[in-house]
Amino acid sequence: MKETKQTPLYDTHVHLKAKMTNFGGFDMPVWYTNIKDEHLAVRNSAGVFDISHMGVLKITGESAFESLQRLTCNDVNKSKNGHMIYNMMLTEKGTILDDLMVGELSEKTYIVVVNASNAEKILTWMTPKLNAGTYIEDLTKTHGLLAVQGPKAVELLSKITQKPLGDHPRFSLFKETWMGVDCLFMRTGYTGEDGFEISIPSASLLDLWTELMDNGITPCGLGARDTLRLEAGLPLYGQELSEEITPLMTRYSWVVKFTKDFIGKTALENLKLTEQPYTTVGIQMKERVIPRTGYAIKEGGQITSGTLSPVLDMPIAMALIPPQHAILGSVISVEIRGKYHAATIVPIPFISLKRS
Amino acid sequence: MFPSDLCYTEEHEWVKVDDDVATIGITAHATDELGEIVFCDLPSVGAEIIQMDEFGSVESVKTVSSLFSPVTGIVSEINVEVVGAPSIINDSPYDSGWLIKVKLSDPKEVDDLLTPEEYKSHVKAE
Repeated sequence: MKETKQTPLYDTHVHLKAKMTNFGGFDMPVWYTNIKDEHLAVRNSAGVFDISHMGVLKITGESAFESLQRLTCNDVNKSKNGHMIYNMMLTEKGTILDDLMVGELSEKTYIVVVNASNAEKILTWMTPKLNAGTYIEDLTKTHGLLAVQGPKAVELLSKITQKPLGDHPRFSLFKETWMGVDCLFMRTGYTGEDGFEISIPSASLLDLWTELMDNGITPCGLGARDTLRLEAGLPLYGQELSEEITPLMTRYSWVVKFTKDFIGKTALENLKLTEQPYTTVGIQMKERVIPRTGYAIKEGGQITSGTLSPVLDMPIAMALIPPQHAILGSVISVEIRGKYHAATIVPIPFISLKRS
Repeated sequence: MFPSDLCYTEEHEWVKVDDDVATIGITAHATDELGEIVFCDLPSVGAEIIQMDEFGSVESVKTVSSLFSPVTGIVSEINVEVVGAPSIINDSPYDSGWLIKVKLSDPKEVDDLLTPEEYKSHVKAE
């Protein structure tokens, strides 16, 4: 068994009496108080997540653009001038190795954010496939990453940094300093709310965390991160996305740009000629029983993620089902502990999001 | 954390015996592990439950956990309060968060259960 890794804030989480769990090989906080309160803090005000387990890579060099363009299926041209784009790395079969964010920080320098659970796999996959003159630096070894999310996140961060951060549009990527420390700011997130993700040298991580807490920003664990992303309909690698699933079965088929060359393109060109076996839908249960990952659906397919929505106070889930059953408003049956329970197919996101 | 007047199971239920009636609930350790409980599924009054068989479930946002009966008997009462407001189980696992009362078929079964000290070392070992 591999040793569990810790983020530089591990002792802080333990001191805050967080309930800890293993996620992506890291010992991470699931909650500090409880999932619902932390969830609602992000929906109504602002919360901060330690996401230092995520892999942050800096890709540089003369051929960095060409390397990324071939390794990923979205058009990296769209990441020019400090713009983070949603992207995927695929196998030759066209299935998903990882979903990631890519942005051009400056000329010939890109920031790539990958899932913690896939970071090693992606580094191993990418390294031999890079063009000569492309270099990878793993910022995860030297930096921490905090996500500050919620309707008050931008205003509070602008006050803390004394910089007009709201001037930077959604999905922007830029360098900024906090207390003289060089940081990377990304106006991105995984909650459906506005906010920033901030990469900061590990030595300054605790100071920034403390400053955020002192300004009334609620510490939030991975439990709330999961319920928030699920309400917003955002996929989680290992559940909605995997090496068994192609982007054509997800809500993100638009990520695939057939106008350029990339690993997995030939397979997907063939696959898109026929109907996909499964497609991703959102469901809401009619009864108060939670459908969990892997639960079977009578009409075919299975639940990929489910939870009790703290905003709707009803169980919601995402599922992969045969496309002929994926009709908004129709009812399907989920098998939960030996009994079928009715669920309605509903639009994603599950709640209305007010983000700017 | 481990009231001394109760018996326990390795699956984190507690039992309080008054004559031939056992009150059953889940321990504070169990509620800490689960987090906020959002649903509670209990048997009906009159149902027969068997020692070590599943008799219901409690569900938190993160996970669902089966309830295993510490004893054999007939359900004589269920806590309707916790079905309507399951967070009571988190707030008061040993008192107002009790789950069911069972009329014991074989009071000797109680001897199979863990003492507070035994349960405490079981929790530590986990």
